[in-house]
Amino acid sequence: MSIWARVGLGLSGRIYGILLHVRYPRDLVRSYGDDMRAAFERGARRNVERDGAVGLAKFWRTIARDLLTPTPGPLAPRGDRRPGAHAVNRWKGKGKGTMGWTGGRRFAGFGEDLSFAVRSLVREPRFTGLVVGVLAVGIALNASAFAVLNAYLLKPLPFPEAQRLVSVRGAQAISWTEVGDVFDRAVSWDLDVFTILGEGRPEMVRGSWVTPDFLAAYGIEAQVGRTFLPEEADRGAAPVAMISGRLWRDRFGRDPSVLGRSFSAFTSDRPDHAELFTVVGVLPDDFWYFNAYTDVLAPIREERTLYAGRLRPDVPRERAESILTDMARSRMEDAPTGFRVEVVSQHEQHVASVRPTLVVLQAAVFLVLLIACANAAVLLLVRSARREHELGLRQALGAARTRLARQLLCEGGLIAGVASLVGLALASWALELGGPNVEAQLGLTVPGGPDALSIDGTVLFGAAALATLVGLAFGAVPLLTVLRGALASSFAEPRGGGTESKGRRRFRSAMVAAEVALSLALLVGAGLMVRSALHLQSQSLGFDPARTLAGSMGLREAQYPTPQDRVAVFEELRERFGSLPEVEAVGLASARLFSTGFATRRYEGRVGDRVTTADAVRWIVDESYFSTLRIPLLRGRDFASDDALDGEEVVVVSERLARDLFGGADPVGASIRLLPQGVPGMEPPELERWRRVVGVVADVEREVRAEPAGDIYATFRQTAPTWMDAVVRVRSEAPDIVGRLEGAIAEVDPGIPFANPERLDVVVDDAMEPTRYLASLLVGFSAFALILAIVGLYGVIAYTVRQQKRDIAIRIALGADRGSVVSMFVRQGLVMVGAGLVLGTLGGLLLGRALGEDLHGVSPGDPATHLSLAAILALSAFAAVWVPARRAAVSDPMGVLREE
Amino acid sequence: MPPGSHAPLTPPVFHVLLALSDGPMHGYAIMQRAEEVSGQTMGPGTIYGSLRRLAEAGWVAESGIEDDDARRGRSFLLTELGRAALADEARRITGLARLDQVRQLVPETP
Repeated sequence: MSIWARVGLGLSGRIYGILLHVRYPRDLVRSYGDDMRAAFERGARRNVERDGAVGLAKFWRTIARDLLTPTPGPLAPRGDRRPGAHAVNRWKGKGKGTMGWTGGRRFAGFGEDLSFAVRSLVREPRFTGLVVGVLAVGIALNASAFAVLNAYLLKPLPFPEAQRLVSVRGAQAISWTEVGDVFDRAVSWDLDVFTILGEGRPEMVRGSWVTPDFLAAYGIEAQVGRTFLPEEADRGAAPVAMISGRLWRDRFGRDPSVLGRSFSAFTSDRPDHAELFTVVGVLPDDFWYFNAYTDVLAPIREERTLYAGRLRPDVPRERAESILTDMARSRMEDAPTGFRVEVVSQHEQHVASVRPTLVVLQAAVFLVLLIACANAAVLLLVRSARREHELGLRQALGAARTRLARQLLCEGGLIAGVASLVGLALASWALELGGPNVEAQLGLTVPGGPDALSIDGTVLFGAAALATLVGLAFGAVPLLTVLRGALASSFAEPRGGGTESKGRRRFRSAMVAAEVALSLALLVGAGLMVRSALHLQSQSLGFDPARTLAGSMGLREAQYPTPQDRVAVFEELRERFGSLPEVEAVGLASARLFSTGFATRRYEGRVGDRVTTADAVRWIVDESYFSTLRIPLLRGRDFASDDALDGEEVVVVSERLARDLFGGADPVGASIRLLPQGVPGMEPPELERWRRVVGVVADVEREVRAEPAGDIYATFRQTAPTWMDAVVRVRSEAPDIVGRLEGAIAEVDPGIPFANPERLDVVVDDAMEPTRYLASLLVGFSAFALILAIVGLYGVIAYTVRQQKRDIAIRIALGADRGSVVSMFVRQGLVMVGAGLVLGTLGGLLLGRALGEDLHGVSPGDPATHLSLAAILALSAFAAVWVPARRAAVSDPMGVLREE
Repeated sequence: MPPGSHAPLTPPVFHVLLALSDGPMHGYAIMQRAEEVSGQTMGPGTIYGSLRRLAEAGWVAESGIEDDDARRGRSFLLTELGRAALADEARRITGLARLDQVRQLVPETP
C-alpha cells in the first residue's frame, strides 16, 4: 500500500471517529463507538486494497449514505407514520437525488447542487487539494490550540460545583476553623514528604497534611474505605492516612483488605520518630489535585491558616473577600493601607500562569487561519475569473442567478466542510502524539489530568463555528461576481483577454496586503519570542549550574536528637562527598533552585533607628554553598565554621534584599528579623529574633517567573535542620555519580535517603522549556504564514501577468521598453506589499504587547526585531513579484498576439 | 416481545438476524454477510444501530467471546427470542412467496 493510501486510511478513520460523535446518539457511541470505527477501518482498508483511491471514495459514498440514514428500528412501520419508515425506502435506494437525500420542497435540488459542487471540485483536483489542504492545516492548528485552551481554561475543574472552590491569599491571621459563616467547608494543608519505611531503602513519597474536611470540600469519596473523621485531627489522635491508587497498587498490590493495615513513615511534622499510620481509605484512581502531593493524605494536627475552601452558596466571592479582610485587619497591629485578603477562584489561580501563553497561541493560530483563508480566497478568485465564462454561458442559457449563487455557496460550504473534517482529524492526531508533552512544555498539570486534552463537544462546536465562517467567506467571494451581474458581458469578451473589473482587482490586492500584514505580525511575534528565549538561555542566573547535582537528605530526629548531632552528621556527609575523587565542591541548602517553588515572608530590617520591611525568601545553607554554586560575595563575609549554635545569630542577605531593607546604608552590621505576626494558636517562628547581617551575596534567579523579592540566608550550624539538599559540583562528566554519593551516605547511615537527585543544569533547562516551546511553535506558524503569503503574492502577480498578456504584447510590439513593463508589475506588487508592511508593523506591536509576560529581556517594540523581519518579508515579497513580472517581459509578443 | 406477535422486520434488522443465525460474529463480519446476501452495503451506523435496538429487545446478546484480534470489536450472538423472531419472519416471507398472486408477479422464479 502506498504512503498516500496509508495516510488516506488514517485520516479517514479519524474523520469517521469525529463524525460518529456528531451524528449518532451518545449512548450508541458510548457502547459501540470503538467497534463502529473498527468496522469502518476494516471496510475502508478492504476497499483501498481492492481499488486504491477510487475504492476509498466509493466506500465514503456508502458511509455518507449510512450517515444520512436514520438509525433503523427493529420493526417495520405501520403505515408510513413511524419515524423509521423513510429509512427503509432510503436504505433501499428509493430516495431521489444524490446520496438518497430527498429533503423537503424547500430544499428541492439541494442534492443536485451538492453533487454539482462535488463534480466541479473533483474536476480540478490540484486546485481543490491545495485549497482544502491550506485550510485544513489552518483549522487543525486552531482546533488543537483550542483543545488545549479548552482543557486548561474552559473546562470546569473535575469537582462538583467547582465554581464555588476558591483560594484565599493574605489570610495568615485567620485559621480555617473560624470561617464557617463564609465557607461550607474551609481547608488548609501542608505539603510534606513521607519517608515510608519497609524492606530495602526507604521510599519517599509526596503527601499532604490536610484538614479533615479536605476531600469533602472537593466532593471526593474514597474508592475503598472512608475519608477522615473530625476527631482524627485532634492532637494526640492515632495517626491515620489515605493512600493514592498508585501507592495502593505498588505497595499493597491492590489488596482489598488494605483497610486497617499500617505503614511507618517519617515526616517533617514529627521528624524525631517514625509514626505508624493506619490506612483508612484509598483515593480514587483518577483523583486529580492541583499539586502532586497526593500519594499520602493525613489529617493535619495543628491550627493552620486558611488556604482555600468551598464558599457557601449564599456568599458571593466579593462578600467573602470583605468579611475575611475585616477579620484579618482587626487582628493586625498596623495593617498597611490597601491591605486586603484576596479570594480567587481556584481554577483561575491554577491556570493564571499559562493563560497569557494559551491566549497568545490561540491568537497566533487564528492569524494563521486568517492568512490561509485570504490565500484560499485569492485562489478561488483566480479560479472564479476562469469560470466566468462558464457561469456567463449558463446564465445566458437561462440559469437563475439565485441558483448559480446557491451552487457557488455549496462549493464554498463543501470546501470548508471537508477542510474542517480533515483539519479535525489532523488535530486529533496531533493531540494524541503531542498531548502527553503539553503538560511538561507548559509546566502545569492539566485540570482533570492529561485525558482532559481531547476533542470534545466544545472543541467540535468551535471548529464548526470556524468552518461556517470560512464556508460563508468562501462562497461569498465568487458570489460577489455573480451578483454584480457582470457575467453576460464577460461572456461576450474573448477568453483570457481584456481588462478586469476594478472592484475585483482591488479585493484581490486587499487580500494580498492582508496576508502580508498578518504574516509580518506573526513573524514579529515569533521573533520576539525567539529573542526572549535566547535571552533566558544566556542571561546570568547569578549562579553556575554546570556539572552540578542536587539530592535531598533527611535525618531521623530520634537518631540525631540534638542540634549538635545533626550539624555533625551533615558535616560528615559533606566531607565524605568531598573526598570522592570526581567531586570538585559540595554545599548544603534547604531548598533547590528552579524546582522547589518559593514562598516569601515579610522581614523587618533595622539600621540605626530606621526600620523598614520587605519580602524575602528564606534559605538555610552551609559555609560552602555560595562558593560551590559560584554565587559571588559582594560585601562582608561568608558564613564560617565558627558561626556556632551558641554564638551570635547571623544572616547573609542578597543584594536585592539589602537594597529593599537598607537602601543606601551599609547592610553589614544591620539587624533583621521575621515580621512578627500574631496568629492565635501558632508558635512564633524562631526567626522573629533579631539577627545580624554579616555579608551580602549577588542575586540569583530562583525560578523563571520568580516573585520580585530578595533572599535571606541563615547557616545550618545555627538552625540545625533535619532536611538538606546536597549540592555537588563534579569535575567532569561522572555518569554514576548518584550511585557513588548514595554509597557515601550508606557508609555514614544507610537509613538516610538521597532523594530526588537532579542535575541542576537540566532543571534550569527544563524551566526554560515553556518559553522555548512557545517560541518554536510561533516560529513554525510564522514560517507557514510566510510561505502562504509569498505563494499568494506570487499567484496574484502571475495571474495578472497572464490576464494582461495581450496588453503587454501589444506594448512591447509597439516598442515599449521591457524593463518598464517589468517595473510596472513590480510597482503593482510593491504597493500591496508596502500597505501590508505598514499594517503588519502595527499588528506586530499589538501581538508583542499581548505577549507581555512571556517576553523576557526584549521589549514588544524592539526595533531590531521589527526592522529585520520586515526586511526579510520585503525581500521575499520582492522575489515573489519579480519572478512572474520578468516572465511577462521575456515572452514573445508576436506569438502571444497570434494566439488570439 | 413474544414471537409471532410482531410486524414485518426492517431489512437491516432482518439481515443482521440472518447473518447471526450462522453463529456468533462481530459487526464487520455482519456487514460483509449482509452485503453478500442482499447486494446492498450497510454501513456501521446501520449495523450497530440495529444491533443496539436488538440487544435492547433481547433478540441478540454480546457473546463475550474474546477475539484474537481485539480491533474487530465485540461479537454478538442470536438469542432464542431472536431466533424465533427470525423464524417467524422467514415463515411470513415464504408464506407470501407461496401465494398464487405473488407467483404470478414473478413467473420465472426457479
